[in-house]
Amino acid sequence: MTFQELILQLQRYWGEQGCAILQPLDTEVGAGTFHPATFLRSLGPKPWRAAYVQPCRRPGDARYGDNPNRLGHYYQFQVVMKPAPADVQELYIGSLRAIGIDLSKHDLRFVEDNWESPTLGAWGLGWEVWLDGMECTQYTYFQQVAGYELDPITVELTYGLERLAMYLQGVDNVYDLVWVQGPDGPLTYREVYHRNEVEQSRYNFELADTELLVRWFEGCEKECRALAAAGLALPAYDQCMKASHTFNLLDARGAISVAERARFIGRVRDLALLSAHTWMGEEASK
Amino acid sequence: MSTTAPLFIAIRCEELPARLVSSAAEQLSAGLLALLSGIDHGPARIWATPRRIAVEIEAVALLRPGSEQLLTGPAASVAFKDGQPTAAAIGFARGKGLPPEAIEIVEGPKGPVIAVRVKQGGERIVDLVAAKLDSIVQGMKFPVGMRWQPGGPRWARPVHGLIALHGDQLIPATVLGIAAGRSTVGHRLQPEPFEVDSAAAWVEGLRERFVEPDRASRRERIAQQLREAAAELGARIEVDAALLEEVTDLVEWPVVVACAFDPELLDLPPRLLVESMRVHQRVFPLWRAEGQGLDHNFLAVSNHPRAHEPRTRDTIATGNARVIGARFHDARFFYAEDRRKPLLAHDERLVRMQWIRDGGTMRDKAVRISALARRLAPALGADPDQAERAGRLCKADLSTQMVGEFPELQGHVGRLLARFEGEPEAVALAIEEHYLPRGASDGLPTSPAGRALALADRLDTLAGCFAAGIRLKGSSDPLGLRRAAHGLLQLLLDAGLRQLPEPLFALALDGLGPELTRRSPRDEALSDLVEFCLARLQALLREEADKGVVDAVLGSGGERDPLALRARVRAMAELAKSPEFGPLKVTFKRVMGLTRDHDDPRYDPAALSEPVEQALHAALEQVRPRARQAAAALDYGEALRALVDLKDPVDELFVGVMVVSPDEDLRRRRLGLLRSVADEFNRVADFTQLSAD
Repeated sequence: MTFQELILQLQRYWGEQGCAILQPLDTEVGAGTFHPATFLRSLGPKPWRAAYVQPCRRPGDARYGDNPNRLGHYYQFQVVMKPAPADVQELYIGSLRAIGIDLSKHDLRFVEDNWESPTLGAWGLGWEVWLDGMECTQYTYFQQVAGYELDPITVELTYGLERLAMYLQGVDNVYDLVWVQGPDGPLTYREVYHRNEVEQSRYNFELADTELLVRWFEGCEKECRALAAAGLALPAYDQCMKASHTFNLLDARGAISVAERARFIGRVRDLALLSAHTWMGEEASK
Repeated sequence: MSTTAPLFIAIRCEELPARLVSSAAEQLSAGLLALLSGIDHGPARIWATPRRIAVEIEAVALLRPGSEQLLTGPAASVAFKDGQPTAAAIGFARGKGLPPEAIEIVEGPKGPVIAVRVKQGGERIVDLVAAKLDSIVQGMKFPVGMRWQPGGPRWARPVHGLIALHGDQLIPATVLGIAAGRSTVGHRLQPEPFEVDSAAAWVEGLRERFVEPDRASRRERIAQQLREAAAELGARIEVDAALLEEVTDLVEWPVVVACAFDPELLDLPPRLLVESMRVHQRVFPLWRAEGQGLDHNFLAVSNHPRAHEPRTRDTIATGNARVIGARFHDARFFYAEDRRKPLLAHDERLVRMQWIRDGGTMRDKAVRISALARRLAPALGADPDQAERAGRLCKADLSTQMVGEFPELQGHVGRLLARFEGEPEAVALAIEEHYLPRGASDGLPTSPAGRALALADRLDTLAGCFAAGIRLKGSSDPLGLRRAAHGLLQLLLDAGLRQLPEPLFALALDGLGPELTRRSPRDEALSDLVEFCLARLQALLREEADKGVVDAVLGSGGERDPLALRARVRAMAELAKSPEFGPLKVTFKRVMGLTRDHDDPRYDPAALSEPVEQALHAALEQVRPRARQAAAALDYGEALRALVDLKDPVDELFVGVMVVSPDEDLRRRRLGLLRSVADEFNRVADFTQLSAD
């Protein structure tokens, strides 16, 4: 199964379960959870089902294209459903079947993993799903998001696409993944993304202008607050995500001490909570 | 007709966290047994897997035992006219739900009254359980609960099935929104429901469908398969008990699968390989023949019923091997990177790592530990230069990529890097050992420099935090101060040092920089530290003896260093087990009582006129040097044996003379004599603090 077939199969399967198949968010995020389709839509009583691919940027995980398992830019496939269907575990197992994982031939275990995001003021309970010992999915029943107790709750399934594809294709190096069988033979992940990893690594670790980034961060912070004050939740939240990514760049660059780090995370959380309050139409608390 | 039947409750849910599986089943059992108190029942038995918990209680009565109560009403004279019940009598009976024929006449305190007999209880257990089961299940305690359905209750994980039977009768209970039925499902690969009418049928049905519901059987099966698989590979296995418990609760039908990683990766530090397999992957490492190190084979515990069939086995083994391989290749890359820089270069990056909030950096801490360890080294038999050097390097590995990736290897990585750079083995070992003990049951440093460093680190942590104004409130202890104090005491005890904590804390406080000392005055920090340490010592000693003995020792005079206090507690605990302890307590409590307000131990031996006084004086003269010499050698058992010799002469004094004599001189010298006795005992324990039994 090629990389793109994996994505197409997951989209088809979850589309059939009534999920809106959305497209990736067009701004840098560290995880699919940041997408407003998860973070903001998990709030409030309205039912919601969506699935989408989300490119994730984690500058600190970049490895100049040298590491066969680690990337500074990679893909998650994200499914969110509210309220969580009673048979969500069965639906999830159905999705594995849909991508060709026949459970009569594989070992499946659900290992406790309680998820927490200090940046988003969120936590939930769930598992890492282990397929033949490999963590292939994060499965979380959100309990709190942006400080709000959820009821109904949202269930989130996050598939690590590269890892799953490596497993399905039986390759040990992410860059050997076959993206698609083209007219001139297989197109590999290397051809699509290796240069990106090399260049972005240099930027993340060597060239990022930290003074400029600090100013960006402050700019995003200011803009977010102003937009929230104007009652514009989505533009405000855009600025929050940009601030978060800017912080990740500063962190990867080694420009933030441990004590400062906690403070930066607190500042991003304040923006996330502010955006969420605005989304919920409440008087901004700050 | 039988009057009892087994009660069977089974709850099926999504995968419980492994650490909660046993506790969930035990709590369900305890809740049911509490519900049945006062009702005849047999023993309980539990079953637990990640996806289900169940309890069967044998021979539970069908009915709650009934009782009869006599309810009295109006006077008989009002209730009957011409032998016929009046409206008052009929109304009374009807009010109790009974016909007039049930009325009888009984003798009341003011003459005959009417009465009826009402049966109470006798309620069906089926109804009792149906009414209470939900609150039992919802009352179960978990570290954190979750909601899964709108407006629904919270529990450990979503619940999907409930079986509730009393004998063959279905109990009409609803738990967490799920109505009881008779059906359940087996392993995930056997999703078709099946019905059961008893616990035995449930167990049997599950076993046919690849679920071993009995936890002990599952664990034993894993242990046995591990041993067999290791033997087949010609390898040795040391089954980690905690890991075995955990994997037992990750599977319903365990099948062990042998896997292997690339043997080239064996050049990584063995501890990294082992910890990484255990902690991250929950698999069991294997060793080659004695002394030949780790094997590249390892054992995974799958939840796949057909994992012994070659194709499935290979798939599972390959999957596990790839995960391990990827992790180890990553580690190898980090390890190589880390070795490109000397430890002191890693140490430089510690200036970016805050120790505690606004309390300086990790590097400042390393510098302080280093100086302190140098001061402590001689008393511990360590080389001061080596202790100082090891202190300087002991935190450097915190900024390595290896420790970033495998935090549980802190200290170990430092040791490996130090060794790689050609530091003396004593320095390398001290770097690793300074983290010991990590907890109450952990090992202690084996090397003198390791001890010096471990002591210095804990003294600095405690002194630094207290100086910075941090005090513990309640049970939360995010900085691990209780653990640090506990470790400090263990280290002092283990080193055999006759050392009071106070001067050590003073030394540590004096080494702190202004960023830490500006918040709490030095003397206040010092006295709080001593008090905190004493409370930890009390807790530590409570592990050796009961509270009365510990309080009696801590509340008395004598040598106050932890080593002496422990020796005194141990000797007292030993004495408390002997038959002479009871009478001894009586005698010496009396001595202490009489001398409570007389703290002058002086008396003139020449003036002692009574033989019983002279005898006690002679005994004291003999006992005192013997007891003190033994105490100096920490042999408090011998000290107490010597002191016990004073009992008879004291008893004889009490019989022979009146201690509290009206004669001032007599009274003073007798109390002085007894005060001398009391003072000797007080060097071991204050007997008045012991309970009277």
